[in-house]
Amino acid sequence: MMATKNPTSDIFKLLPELKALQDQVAQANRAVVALIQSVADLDDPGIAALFGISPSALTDLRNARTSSFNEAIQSGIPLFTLRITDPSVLSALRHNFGAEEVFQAIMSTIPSQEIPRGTR
Amino acid sequence: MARDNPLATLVGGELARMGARSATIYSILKSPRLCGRKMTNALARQVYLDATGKSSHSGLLPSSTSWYFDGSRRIMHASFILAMAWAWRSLGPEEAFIRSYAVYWRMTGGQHGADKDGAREIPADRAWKLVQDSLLPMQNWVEAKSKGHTAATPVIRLLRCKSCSVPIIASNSMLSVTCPVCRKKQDKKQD
Repeated sequence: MMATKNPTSDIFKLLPELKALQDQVAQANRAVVALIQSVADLDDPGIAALFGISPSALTDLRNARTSSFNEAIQSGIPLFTLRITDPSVLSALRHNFGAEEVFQAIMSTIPSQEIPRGTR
Repeated sequence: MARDNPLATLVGGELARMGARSATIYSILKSPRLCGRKMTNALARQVYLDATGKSSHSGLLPSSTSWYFDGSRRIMHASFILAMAWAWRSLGPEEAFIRSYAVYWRMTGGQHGADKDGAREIPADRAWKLVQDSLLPMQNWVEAKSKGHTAATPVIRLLRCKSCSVPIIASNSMLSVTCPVCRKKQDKKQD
């Protein structure tokens, strides 16, 4: 019966480092969800753009409760993706924060649908 | 005099600390949404003096549009400021500028981020000129395009990079644009 109730408990005894990592992921998820909900509550288009949140997602987030994300938070799977993974950007972050690569990485998630691609 | 106008003291003082000259402070705060007619050149100079302890430089404000295209880093920094101002465009150019430059200023190190000459890649006066001259014309231009109408192309506007889609400044003679980072990658591939 216990095994049915909590089928992963035994396997996590064998893999303590995985359990610790998933706990850390859950903690980060909780912080990220709290942060984006604060952004949604602000209802500020510029701050939302910095987070890559579109106006329609902003409305969705404003209407959602933190508790509705609980299952996802606890899943152990990161709910966020890293904006900065390119080696040149990682290097620039440490040594040259004003580099073009850093600005490109930051701007790549700013919603810009209304901005034309070109005028040809 | 400045103490009688808390908004001018607070916002103008912060603008001065971010490097804006008194002429820029006056130009921003004279907006009806901010201080309106209460803002004068003399008040802006006083606000600057109170905030920084020295007199503001006199003389003409920078006006060259080609300056923003001089170097990859400058293009990216100017693009970031204008893209953020675009996100705040509903507030009008003055407030959009204050917010976007505050984000840029903090992002580039806050009070400790200036280079040895005490300037940023895009100083506040240049950033204001960019937002002031580009935001409303770009709004009109985008709106007209979406309705299938023609409108004057702004001297500087944002276009999305052909390759990575980030918003990049483009002059009115440029029909499309590739950001400096993608251009660098393309040049490397060709070599």
